[in-house]
Amino acid sequence: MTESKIYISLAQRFLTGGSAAIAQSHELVGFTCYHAFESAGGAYATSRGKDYPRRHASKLNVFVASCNNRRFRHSVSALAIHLGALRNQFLYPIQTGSGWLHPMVQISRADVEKLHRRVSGIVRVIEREIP
Amino acid sequence: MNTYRDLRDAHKRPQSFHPPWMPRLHRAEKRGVEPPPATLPQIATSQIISGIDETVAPILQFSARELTSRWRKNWKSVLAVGPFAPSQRPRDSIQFVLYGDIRSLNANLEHISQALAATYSEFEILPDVYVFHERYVDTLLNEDNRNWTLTRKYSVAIGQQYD
Repeated sequence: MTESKIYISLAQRFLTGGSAAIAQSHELVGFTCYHAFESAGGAYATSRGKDYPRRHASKLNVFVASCNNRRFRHSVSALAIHLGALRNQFLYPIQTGSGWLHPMVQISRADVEKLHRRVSGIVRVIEREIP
Repeated sequence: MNTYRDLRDAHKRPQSFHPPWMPRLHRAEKRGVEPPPATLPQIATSQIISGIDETVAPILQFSARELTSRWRKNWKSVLAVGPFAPSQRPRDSIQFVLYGDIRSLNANLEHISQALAATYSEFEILPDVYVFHERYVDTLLNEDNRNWTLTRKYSVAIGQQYD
């Protein structure tokens, strides 16, 4: 199995795990979507002969840079910002100035399902792109 | 979950504010790094910043243009945090703070990520977005929170309500 094929398999497994988590702990899917997306970036970057770094921001930057001149570049850029920010917020209780919020009340199940569909779409596109 | 007592007494406790950029800002302050002007137009005309990072200013200007055209009424401000404070490693992200009347975190994130996607595609440096409730920021201001004061001091407002 090539490095890029392993990365795409990781992406698919994160998505499958995320689907299973929706009913139980839907906010966790933001996290699995992030990792699926990051792995899709690894698949695409390594299929194009690039090294995939270890730091989160650097990985997303390499993914976006790898999509140069591709029609899905804007979608990848927007999703990278969105998922990166969710990852920041969903690890901690959220302060509101008058109390605390659990991350699970800050994203609905419908939002999570939409996010999951968007990331699945990108993973499918990348899977078709890698040799 | 919040209990009744948590909610009742929340205003009595000092708010904690320990975002990941604080070590960098504390280092900048300790080294006497000059804070940037508070807004972008001031940066464009400023002669006072020495050693300005030439890669950052165009990113902020590009981001500001994109945000202006997609500004949401509930947003109060978007800050670029410490864009000129020195970092110990090559810059791979710029931290942005969005605060306002945030009812749905996800809807606001979706909107700002669409607004900043063109900037990201152009410069390939991640806009790392943090969203805060306006009331939380007001509380930090009222408490004169040291970390918030330092964050504000080293930030540039790239979008503001009533611009």
